[in-house]
Amino acid sequence: MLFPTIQFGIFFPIVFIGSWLLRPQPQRWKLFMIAASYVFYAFAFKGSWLPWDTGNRWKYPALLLLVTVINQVFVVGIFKARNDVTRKIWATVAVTSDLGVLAYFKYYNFGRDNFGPLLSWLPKRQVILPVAISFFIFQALSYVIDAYRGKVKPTQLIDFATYLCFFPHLVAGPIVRATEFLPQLRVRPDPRFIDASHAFRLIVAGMFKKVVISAYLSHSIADQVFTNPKGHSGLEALFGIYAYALQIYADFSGYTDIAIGIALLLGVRFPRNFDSPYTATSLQDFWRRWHMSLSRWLRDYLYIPLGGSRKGTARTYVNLALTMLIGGLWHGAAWRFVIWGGIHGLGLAVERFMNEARGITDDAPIERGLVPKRLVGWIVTFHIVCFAWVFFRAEKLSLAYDVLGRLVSGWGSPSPLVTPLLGAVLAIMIFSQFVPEGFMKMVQFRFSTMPVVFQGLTLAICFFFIDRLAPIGVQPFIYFQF
Amino acid sequence: MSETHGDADRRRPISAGSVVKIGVILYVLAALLNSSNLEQMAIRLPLSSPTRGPAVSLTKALHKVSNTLRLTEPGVRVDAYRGITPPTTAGEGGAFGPAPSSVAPDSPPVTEPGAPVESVDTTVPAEPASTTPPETAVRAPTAADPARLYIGGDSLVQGWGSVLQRLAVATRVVDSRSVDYKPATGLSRPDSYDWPSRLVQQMSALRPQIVIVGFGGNDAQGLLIGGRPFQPGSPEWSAEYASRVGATMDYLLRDGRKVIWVGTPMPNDPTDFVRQNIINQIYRDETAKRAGVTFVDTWTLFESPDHTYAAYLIDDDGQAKLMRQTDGFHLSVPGAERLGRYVFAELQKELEARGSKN
Repeated sequence: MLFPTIQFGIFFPIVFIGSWLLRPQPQRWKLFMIAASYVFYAFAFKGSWLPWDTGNRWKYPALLLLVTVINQVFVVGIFKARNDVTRKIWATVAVTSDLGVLAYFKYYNFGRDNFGPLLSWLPKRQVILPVAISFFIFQALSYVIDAYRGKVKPTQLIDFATYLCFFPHLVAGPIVRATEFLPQLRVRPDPRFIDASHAFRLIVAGMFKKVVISAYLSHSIADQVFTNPKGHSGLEALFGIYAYALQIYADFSGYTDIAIGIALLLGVRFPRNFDSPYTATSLQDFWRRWHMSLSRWLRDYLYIPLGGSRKGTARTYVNLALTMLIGGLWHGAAWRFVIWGGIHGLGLAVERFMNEARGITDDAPIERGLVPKRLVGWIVTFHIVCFAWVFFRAEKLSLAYDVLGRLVSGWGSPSPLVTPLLGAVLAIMIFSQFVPEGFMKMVQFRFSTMPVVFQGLTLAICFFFIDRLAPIGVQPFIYFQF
Repeated sequence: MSETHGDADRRRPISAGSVVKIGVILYVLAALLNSSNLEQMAIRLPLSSPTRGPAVSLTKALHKVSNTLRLTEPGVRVDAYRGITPPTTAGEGGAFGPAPSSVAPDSPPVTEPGAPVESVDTTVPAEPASTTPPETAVRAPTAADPARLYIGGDSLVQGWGSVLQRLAVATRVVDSRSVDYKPATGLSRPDSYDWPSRLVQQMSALRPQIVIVGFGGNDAQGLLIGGRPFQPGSPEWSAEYASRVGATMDYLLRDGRKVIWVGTPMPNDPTDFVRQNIINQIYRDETAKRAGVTFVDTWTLFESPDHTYAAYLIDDDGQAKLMRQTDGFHLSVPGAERLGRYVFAELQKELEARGSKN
């Protein structure tokens, strides 16, 4: 089920009312939320609604249930182990099985197609990648690893199931950790104090970014440039790249804004996932602002276990590059994602090398520097990020090279796709990242002080414009495929 | 704008009851303001959907109330500002205007602004009066005077159409600026997306000499015939769909245009397999009746050696490649490349027939 659909418009009020009515009875609330989440997830697949039907409708929700039960068994095993060796064995089996599930669904076709001599014995099979699998596997891994590290104790199966399938974060994040979610199940939120103005702001902003901005940028130029680069001028290629950079931001941050807002209305807080990423003045700064829940996951469960920066300079660079390469592969089984991760990994390593060469040990040297220095840092960072997006977006490597090639050889031809409206939308989207947070807080506060009737009226007007400015039909979220 | 979370300062929490009240106001008012779009969405539901009837009735009633309260006006004004015209009264099949010799200069009738109409009646868009004479003489395309190519159709066209366009433009004797694809559309439901009107408008605006189209992926669904729905497989359905395909081909052939009609590939789903087979046979039959139309049979292009569905196929480079997407119908990137090259070969034949040296 997609958020900006009629189905969700009917689904959510039922869940909202049911949720707050059942809140005084925690166990029933959890069962209700699990049932609602599985129905929400089943909507993502075709097939019969009969639970015993063998179609895809219930096949992948069944996989989610299996992952839930197995990981709970592993965590209980880790907790009850009598010595470190046994604990380690339980943890290794758990991580291996989770990664095995991910590898099968995500990398089977890629592995078979790209490593023929090694994997040609595998049967030719079209493996379907279930929506959300990358997200719920990463969340299950965080539960298992935190249990192994002693940061979290095994919780009841019903609590873990609620955490893993909770529908606002289920299909495209943010990646909420067990340590962030499970404690919230032990407190009962007060139905008299819902942070609704914040939730409404996130939902409206998310809808606008996803339904209007992302769709406009994709249709007006990005799709055309990336599917047929040689048919477009250098200026169109440049604007197509900028448009995609802002499209993927609007699309993904829009989704997670809605997810955070929906969860907030149900009394659950999620970590923030984006913090004006295109204001970043260095790549390190960018990764502190972009898909923050994934960045933190990769840092804590991959970069630091690899040794982080504790094992010498050379090893630090290797760890940085390796983390970003694996982060790239997480997005998809294709060489273009590996290159995307490689560009960021190399960029982070070079950035770190330059800082160390200049004797700068501060984590964020540029952000506190002089304005011209920050401006140069911002321009360079933005363009490196855009350069990497070319590989992320192009459906195959040759198309990425064609897009970049047009930047060199495509000047002089007409550029009908570059319109004043497109320029204005791009400029406003970039400028909006620099709007001070205080201004947004003020708007939100003013909204929260309005009578209920006017709040409803304001929201209705916002949704009216979102609906009118949107193209027909709902485009799937880009991050659904990951 | 930056997203915030955890900034609990300076905002007033409200109760769940107040959220419900806000929700009710929001839903009622937003539904009234967007009643025309809601009605269109209900109309676009598949004819076989059990929720379609109640949804259409409900949204029609809502739209009446909205009209009475004059709440449709803001939507009409915003649409007018964006240059969007209200939906026209598309016929059941979406009809093309008469042949150029008898083109009616009058514009098609349109409904009251803002009022969506479920397709029930006959005629529609006549082709706008052309400002240029019909191009009957076939010229050899050159870099200075390239052949104008139109590529359009449903979501399948997005992939192979882009490949075809890339290859066509690279010949330097073909002018093609975009691929006119619209997902979830076809010739079955002009009430959902009116391809006949779209083609009339595109032929008039672009004046292509070669037209390559692909439909069918979404056409295996109920058709309204005389106000009654008929399902694929029934004789009535086949006759009606064949007449729509034939009318589309006849229209596209006007002004001496060459038409290349691309069929649909074999689907994995057994029900879809039977229905798509019927659709492709209709394409073959209608093509055979008309000179100037070439049918590109993709059914056999994507079948296994034992004539069944195959996700993997040996490609032109000798490698086994995954040709289909996970829905068992749409094409993967290698699949789109394969079909794009295949259709391009047909285009090349046409270019050669026109005297192109490329």
